[in-house]
Amino acid sequence: MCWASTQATFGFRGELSSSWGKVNASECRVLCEYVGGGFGSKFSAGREGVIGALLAKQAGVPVKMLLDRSGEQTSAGNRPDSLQKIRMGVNKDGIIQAVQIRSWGTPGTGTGGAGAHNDGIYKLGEVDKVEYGVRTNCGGARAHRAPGWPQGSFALEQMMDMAAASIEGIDPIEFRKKNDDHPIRGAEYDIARERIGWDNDRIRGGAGSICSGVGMASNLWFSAGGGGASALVRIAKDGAVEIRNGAQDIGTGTRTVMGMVAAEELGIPLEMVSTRIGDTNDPQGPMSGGSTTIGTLTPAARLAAHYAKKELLAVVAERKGWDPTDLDIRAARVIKNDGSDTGLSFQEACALMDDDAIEVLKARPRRNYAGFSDTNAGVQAAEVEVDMDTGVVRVKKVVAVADAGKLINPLTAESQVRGGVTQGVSYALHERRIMDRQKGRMLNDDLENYKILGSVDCPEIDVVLIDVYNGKSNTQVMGLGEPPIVATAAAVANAVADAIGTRIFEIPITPKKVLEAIAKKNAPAGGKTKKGARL
Amino acid sequence: MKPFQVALPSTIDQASKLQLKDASPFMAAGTDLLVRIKDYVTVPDMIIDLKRIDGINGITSDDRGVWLGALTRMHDVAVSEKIQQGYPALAETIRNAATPQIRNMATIGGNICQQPRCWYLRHEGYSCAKNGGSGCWARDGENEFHAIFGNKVCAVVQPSNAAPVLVAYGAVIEVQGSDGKREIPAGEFFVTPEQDPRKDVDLTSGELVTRILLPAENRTTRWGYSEAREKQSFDWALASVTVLLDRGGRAGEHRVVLGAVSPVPLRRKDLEKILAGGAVDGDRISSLKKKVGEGATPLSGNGYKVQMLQGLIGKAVRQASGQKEG
Repeated sequence: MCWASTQATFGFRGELSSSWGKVNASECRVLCEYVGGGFGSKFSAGREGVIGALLAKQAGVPVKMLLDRSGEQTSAGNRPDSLQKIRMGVNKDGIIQAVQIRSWGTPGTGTGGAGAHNDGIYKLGEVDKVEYGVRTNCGGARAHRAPGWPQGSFALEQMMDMAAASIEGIDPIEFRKKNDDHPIRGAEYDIARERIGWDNDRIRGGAGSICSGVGMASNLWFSAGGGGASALVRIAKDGAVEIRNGAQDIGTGTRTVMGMVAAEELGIPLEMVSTRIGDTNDPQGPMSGGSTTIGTLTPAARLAAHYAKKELLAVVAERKGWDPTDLDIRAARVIKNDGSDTGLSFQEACALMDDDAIEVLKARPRRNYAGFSDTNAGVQAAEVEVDMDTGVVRVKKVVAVADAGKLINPLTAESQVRGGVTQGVSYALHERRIMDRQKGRMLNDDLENYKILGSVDCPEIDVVLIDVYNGKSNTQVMGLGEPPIVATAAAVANAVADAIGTRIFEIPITPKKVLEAIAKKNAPAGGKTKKGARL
Repeated sequence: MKPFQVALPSTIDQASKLQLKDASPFMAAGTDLLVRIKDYVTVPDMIIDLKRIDGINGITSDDRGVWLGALTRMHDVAVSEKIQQGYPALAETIRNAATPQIRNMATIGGNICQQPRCWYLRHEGYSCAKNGGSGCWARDGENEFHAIFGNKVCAVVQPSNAAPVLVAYGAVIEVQGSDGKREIPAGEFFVTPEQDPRKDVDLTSGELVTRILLPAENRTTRWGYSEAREKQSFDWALASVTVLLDRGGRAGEHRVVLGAVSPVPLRRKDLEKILAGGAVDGDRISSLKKKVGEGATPLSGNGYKVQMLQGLIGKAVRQASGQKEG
């Protein structure tokens, strides 16, 4: 029995029963009632997870394994660094013809997971991309919310702005629209433009002691979900309804949403449904990776609830001599198709059962939906204020326009967007590992010098959720955990460039880098200007 | 964390004798010490908790000025009317320091005695001139947040935001050990690495800070304080500038003290002289900006602090002279 803070209860069990862990899967139960934040790092049990279980097995006593902050940062892997070079060819009408990309990432001594997604989102024409993994002894790669995407977006979106600037009369948004054929994003650009005050007058380009700027970036995601999930709906004779799935809730509201789908399908209020998750003794559920948990789980939940209701109504029809196809449940009452009340409440209907309960287990088929996979769009715009005297950047506002298919629970969806933007601003301005060039040790393996955005630094976040029906499943829902972090750092970087009149190509954008960029810009021009530097 | 014992002396004399016996560290609120213990940077067998000692907590005043008991919480200093009215730059810097949680806990005495935040000094994997070894890792290593002045022996920066302001106000640090009391001007309380790299402040074994005096004659109405840091919540200053004009109402007596750019708060008489030269106009601010980096010996990664000081001194002087930001 293993209590783990994990994004993948079943994956965790899989690792324990692997050639290393050698525990029989059927003897092993993984429990995860609450994750407490995952963000990718808990996708795998990791060495620490398996070691903890093996210690317990060998010692025959309970073992608690906990990495402290330093242990997390120095031995559990990090969001990989990335170095990217992009050249972009654009014709005079502003249509991208080709891009050439070389990028380098650091998977530590591992082999993968350090790529940068810098060749997507837009129609880029011919793409020549080569990516290298650079081996370092600085710790391995570990997934972090939209692995490789914020890195890639940071480079690509700044390239987009620079390309737009090279063509007269096209502003960065128009340039993006010209090279983007996502139907949802097309509408999202205009919403972001208006709400960030894109066309407002401002002191920009380094013209004052406090300058302001705006920047835009897009995102793309693939979170319609897939197979690998079953849900069990149990309706008890006393009217208690329970829905079970063994997957965990990484924080996106799996528990709530599963209950909502079952309640709606059963025709009863949410309060009447209890939800059980995070236990590998319950039906199989997905790993929380790629923002696919809800897209994968809810169709199974709906299917199971649908058939459970059918079974219940069959019982009612048989006992009462009614036609089962003429019955349904609404607001916890059994009704007829013409809407008339049968006089039976849901609870009274349940009491007609011979057995103790109805239990229905249904799986989400892997390929039952036409045009199975669709993509999330999304656009973000940032407004920043830069103190030219100190180089301090304040992100004033971020407009985050997001979509995730049909929104089941707007509150939890909005919360994901806020979280993504907050982490994205933190990534843009603060987060970095400081490695000592002399001993190769990490110097800031703590929360004092590994800086994260604090409450006072958090911008106003204006979340605009667009409800669309492109989830391509029986719930039309898509995930929204990762998409909202993709564009944020890039939008902030573009806004900083707009404010100070020169570009910073490295994150985090610290006062040091801003002051250095301003000094470089103001330095008397020496030598010839390099134009379109070769890769 | 290695387990340790806690001693709870009720008098200064008891506390002092305990430290003389086995060099155990004093603890006021522990916002610095406990973190170091958790990180195995300081591994004591015993700590001497000062909180039961009477008479060194709270703010009082007499004809010499305002006395801050060493155990007075940072928050209480920031909201004190006596401080806000007489020594507003001190209230201002503390009001924005760290987080509400820390300000509600940390003490002013602990604040000026805290260990520098150098990441080599606070890493169990390095030893240097400051903690028993030799040399300075930051000089050839990662030094973005380190000193640009007086950094030859050791490049730490004085971490207290309050310290440069106390120096500007000519505060007096009262310390006491089993041999009695001493009063040390704030400007001499902080020890440079050249003087003694092992020491941060002028305390001998068994001595602790008991009170801080803000002299009545140095109450100043024209003041400016500017500071830059990466984050506005819970972060350390990259650089700060404290400016007092006509200190204590004495025409031409100015103070300029730089913070977070050298191992001790750095009073700059050369800049004070420029200020004494006449009205604070654009030309004078330009001269100050030109001069502020003089004497700096930046390392590989902290040259930006000179540029930052140029910006900050302009802000602080404009604020002190009642001019609008611009």
